[in-house]
Parts: sequence; C-alpha cells; structure tokens
Amino acid sequence: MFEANRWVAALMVSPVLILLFAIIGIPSVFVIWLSLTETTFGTDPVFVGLDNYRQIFGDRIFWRATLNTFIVVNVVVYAELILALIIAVALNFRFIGKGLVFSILIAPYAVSEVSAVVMWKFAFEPGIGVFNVLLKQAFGIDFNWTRNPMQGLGLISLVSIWIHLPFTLIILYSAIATVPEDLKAAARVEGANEWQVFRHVTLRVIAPAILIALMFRYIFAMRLFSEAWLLTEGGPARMTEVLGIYLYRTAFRYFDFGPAAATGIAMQILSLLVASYYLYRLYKGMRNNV
Amino acid sequence: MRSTTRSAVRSVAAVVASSVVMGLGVTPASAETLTVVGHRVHQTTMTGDTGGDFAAEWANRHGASVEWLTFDVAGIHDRLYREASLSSTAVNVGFAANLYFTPEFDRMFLPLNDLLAEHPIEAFDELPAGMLDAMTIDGKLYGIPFRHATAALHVNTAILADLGLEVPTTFEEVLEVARAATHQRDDGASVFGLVLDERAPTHITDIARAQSNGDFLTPDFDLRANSPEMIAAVQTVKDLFEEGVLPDNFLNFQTEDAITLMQQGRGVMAISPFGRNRNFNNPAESLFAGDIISIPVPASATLEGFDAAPVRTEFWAMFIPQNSANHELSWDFIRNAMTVENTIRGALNGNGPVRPSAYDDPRMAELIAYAEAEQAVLAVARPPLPGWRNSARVIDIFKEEMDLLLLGMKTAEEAMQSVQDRVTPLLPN
Repeated sequence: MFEANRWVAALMVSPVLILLFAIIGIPSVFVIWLSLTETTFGTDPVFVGLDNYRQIFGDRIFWRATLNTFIVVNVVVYAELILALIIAVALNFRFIGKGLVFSILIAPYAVSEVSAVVMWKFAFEPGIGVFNVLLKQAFGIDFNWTRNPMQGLGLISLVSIWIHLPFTLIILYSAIATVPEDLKAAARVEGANEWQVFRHVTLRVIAPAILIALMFRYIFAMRLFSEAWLLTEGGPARMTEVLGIYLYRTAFRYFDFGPAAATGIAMQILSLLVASYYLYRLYKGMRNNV
Repeated sequence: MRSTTRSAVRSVAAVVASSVVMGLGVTPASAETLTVVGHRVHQTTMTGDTGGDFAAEWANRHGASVEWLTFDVAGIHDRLYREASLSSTAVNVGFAANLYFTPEFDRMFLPLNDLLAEHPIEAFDELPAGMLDAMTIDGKLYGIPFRHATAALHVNTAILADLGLEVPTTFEEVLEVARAATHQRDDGASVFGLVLDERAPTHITDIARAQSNGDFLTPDFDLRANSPEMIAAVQTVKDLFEEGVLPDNFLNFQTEDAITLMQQGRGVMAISPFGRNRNFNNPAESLFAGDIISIPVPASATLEGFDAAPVRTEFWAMFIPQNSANHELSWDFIRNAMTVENTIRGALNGNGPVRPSAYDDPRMAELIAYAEAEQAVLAVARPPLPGWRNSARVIDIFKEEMDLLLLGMKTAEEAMQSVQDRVTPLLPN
C-alpha cells in the first residue's frame, strides 16, 4: 500500500519536476557544455576542454572584476543589513504615520532598476547634479565618479543599496515582529537593559532570518549588473567592471560564448560557496537550538 | 483516476513541448507579415512624414504588413545573429552595420546574387562599389547598403555669435574656437567648446584624419595605433579634456549625452553624424532649434588636397537570414526601399542616402539644409575600421587605453603603443 502511494506521489509531483528540469536543468547542462567549447554565431561549436577557463583565469580584467564584485557585494550586503536592522527596530515602535513611512521605505523595490539608475545618475552628474553641487558647496568634495574608480564603485554600491534595501528590511521587520514579548519581559525581570534585551534576545531569535537575508542578498548581489552597466559600463578603463559586466561584454559584445559561459559557471560556483557557508551556519544554529 | 493521470501527463507534455518550442525561438513566419530587425532610425527613414511612408505603401500593394523590431546597435546584431543561427526564424530582413560584417555571415545570411539577377535593383550600378565590396565574401553579395552615417561638424551659431566668434574653416580654427567658446554660464553650468560622441577609435580617427589624414586601422588591416598621426590625435583629445574643452564626464560619455548637451546649449560644437542635425534642431527638445548648422569637418591648413576632412563614414546594409521564409517577399521589400525615388524619400526622412544622385534632387536642397555639405564629405570620407570578428574587442581595448591616457596614468605614446601590442594578436592572419 505504502509502495503504491509512493508511486502515485511521484507521479503527482513529476510534472513540476519535469518542468523544473526543462527550465533549469537543460539550460544549466547546456551552459556547462558551452563553457567547454569555442563558439560564436554562424560557427559550429568546437570542443576545447578547459581552454576557456584558462583564458578567463589568465585575464587580469577578470580578476579585477572579481575583486570589484567582492568589494561591492560585501559593502552592499552588510550596509543593507545594518540599515535594515536599524530601520526594522525603529519601525517596531508605535508612532504616527508608521504605515506611510514603511510604504516610502519599501517603494524603491517597486521602481525599475533602469529608472532608479537614471535618477541617481542625474542627481550625481558631474558639475550640475544636485548632490554633486551640495557636496562641493558644503564639503568642498569634487565627486566626479566618471573619473575616480573608487567613487564610481561607491555610487554603484549606493544605488544598489537604495534599490535592494526593502528586501532585507521586509525580512528583518517581519522577524522582529515575531519575537515573543514574554521572552523580552523575562530578560528585563532578570535585570537586562534594553540594549542587552536587543542583543541577547531579539538578535538571537532573528538570527536565522538574518542568515537567510544575507544568503539571498549575497546570491542576488553576486549577479550585480544593471546598476554598474548603466552607471559606468565598467569604466573608466574597466576599473569599475564587475563580473556581470565581464560576462555581458564577452557574450553580447564579443559574441564569444565559450568564455562567457565559463564566467557564468565561475560566478555560479562563487554563489554556491557563499550560500553553502550561510546554509551551514543556519543548519548548525538550528541543531544547537534543538 | 486513470483518465485523470493520462490527462495530467498530456498536459505536462503539452507544456514541456510548448516551452521547448518557445525556448528555441521558432515562431512560424506568416506569409502576410514581414518582420524587420533594425534601429528605430531605420524605421523612421522608411516611414517618416517628410518623405512619406514607403514601407506602408509597399505593404499595401502586397496585402502584407511590416513588423519592426528595433533595438540599440548592440541589441540589433545580437538579435539578428541569434535569429539567423536558429533552424528557422520569423525575421525576414535585418539591418547590420559594416563594422559587424564578418566572414561568418556566409553561414547565416542569404547570398543575394541570384535574386539580384532575377529581379534587379533599380540603377544598381550607382551604389558605391566600396560599400558593395565590403558586403561581399568570395564573390557573393550578402548585404545591400541602405544608410550611411558620415561625420560632420555641428556648430551652435547662436552661441558663437554671442561670444563674437566665427564659424571655423580649418581644423586649427576648430580647436581655437572650441577653446574660446568654453565658459561658465550665468546659471553656473559649464559650456563645453567641443563634444565628441565617445572616445572609441572610430571617433578619434576623425581627429587623426582632420589633422593629418591618419588612420588607426586600414581596410587591409595595417594597424597604425602607434603612428605619429594617431599619437598626435589622442594627445589633442587629452589636451582638450585637461583644459575642460571636452565635457568633464567624457569618460562616461554616450551619444545621448552628446545630443542632450547640444540641445541644452552646453555644447558649442560637436563632431557627430550629419543626421544628428535633426535631433539638435528638434523644436520639441532643443533650446537652440534652428541655430545649429552642420558643415564638413574642416581639414587642417597643413593637409594638402582636402577642404573637408576625410572623416569616418559608416553604413548599414539589409540582409536576409538564410533560415527565414519567403525570400522573394523579403527581396522585394529591399528592392522597394532601394528605388531611386525611395532613396530620396528616405533621405528626406533623415536617412544618409547611399546613392550619390539623391543629392542632386531639388527636394534635397530645399528640405535638407546640410545636403550639399554631406555630399561633399561623402566624396572623401571612408570607414574608420574594417569589420571582423574582433572589432568590438579592439574598440574596448582602445577605449581602455584612452581612459588611462585621459586620467594621466599613461602618456599618449605609452597608451598607443599598448594598443598596438594588444590589438596585433587579434588581427586576422
């Protein structure tokens, strides 16, 4: 009986599994195969083994893009986490207009990335951008991100944080709202002050949510492309290039699909490594709690 | 139960089959719909108001409709190549720029010689032989040139008059006027004397040719990045950038930025294709509509034999994907676009006509202010780069080294030597 049920269950879920395999499995296998070939439009793929990987690993711009991605991703993910945590805590207090404030805070997530980037680009346009003028007049800072790669990476990070902050905020806000009041009350009875309650009760309870937010944001941020491409196109001198741009350039400007696929696989492995670390931490934390 | 399971399996099979079909991009072509992949400008030159919509007239005659799929330059080629690489495609005609024409085209696009012999294009001999040669592989013609984009000097005469400056007649004067016209407006905004669309070799070659008829890469792939002419050209750009004559965001500059600066009067002169004259003088967008004239880029006073500098001309051609349906209909669409009359009508809609005789038509002189100037430049202009598989990669290398020069991290000699060293292995054998 149990055996028959298993077959029925397998049959019932098989449409979804087949669909998943068709949508995710087949393209993934295709990309892996593509990464082992030399191919462009109008030519037959030629198997070249690991040559494409050797090519991208021997390209200094690939490593610069990797370093830039590493810097921007870490800045973006942790800045978002800290900001979202502060805002989520603040939003858990009662105050007039809380709904409106919350709506404003999550609004950037509804704005298309292209519109958001154009808006920020205008605001920071060298010479005439409103923020550039303010920075110049108030602090004497000449913020010309088109010439200074670090400022370029800074602006990319800023725009990315602005766009994606609501994602982390919603996760943390929901998690904080579910922290049992009696736990906090018990801590206060034991003599804990508000900071100690936050640190030893709230943070511990929402730790799994923080790890989930970190993991997803790391994976999404690793694919960073539109903010960087629309703002700097990787310039000046490809010094603000991130891996997403490197892949795009190789695939859609040079039509060199082998190295582009290899870059995609490298990005995938990086994401998997990051996800594995956070999943391990999550698993360990859950086991400890059990 | 059995019937439900069978129905579920059938549904899943249908979903998977349709997903696979959609994934492959195979859409059966309708006999009545002709799908064209190109730039928005290709569409407007065939469908505009001034010269009339000759694409719609053609469609009405054939009881067909024309569906335009328009993208930016990179997007056009990506889409066209992808469609042409499939087992079949709904795209019937595609536009491609000369720079993107590579030897691989022979496997994706239809040789047009037989169609041309069977149903000739009117006054075909008039089409420039150089353009046709550039579209030919092993004696087979793959593309029919439709549009040229040739560089001009656009001058805001209102600003020059305010500053008491004259329109330049030599390239040395262009640089002098650009320097003199650079200033800060009363509202605090910077006004830049000269605007270049970007820092690519295609555009820097204009400077090299205006100064000394130099070249970055010749049609037979003779690379001259480290030649004295190219070094002088990039040094000129570097000087202008340092002096603030070029826009301060030049390192992040795109065509749209150049158009905006000229329309706002924050750019006084621009080296950009003639067709841009319409954008610069568009009353709906420009603060200086009617004030911006388009003239040939003047050659250096030391350059003998040239009044107009032999600047870049690039062109677009129409191709038929081999895997498309109804080649006859596609060819007829191309023939219609290439008639003598429609070439003129397209030019009136803003196209750069590839037929020299189009410039002799009185309507051109009446409606296109820059027609005579464009004709004069076309006689000496030539493509800035040949097309081959690595051309996009080479443009990126050049831009990277230009950036290092403009940021002061390399000298002109070092930057151009580096371009020479990095590009040499990428040239065809």
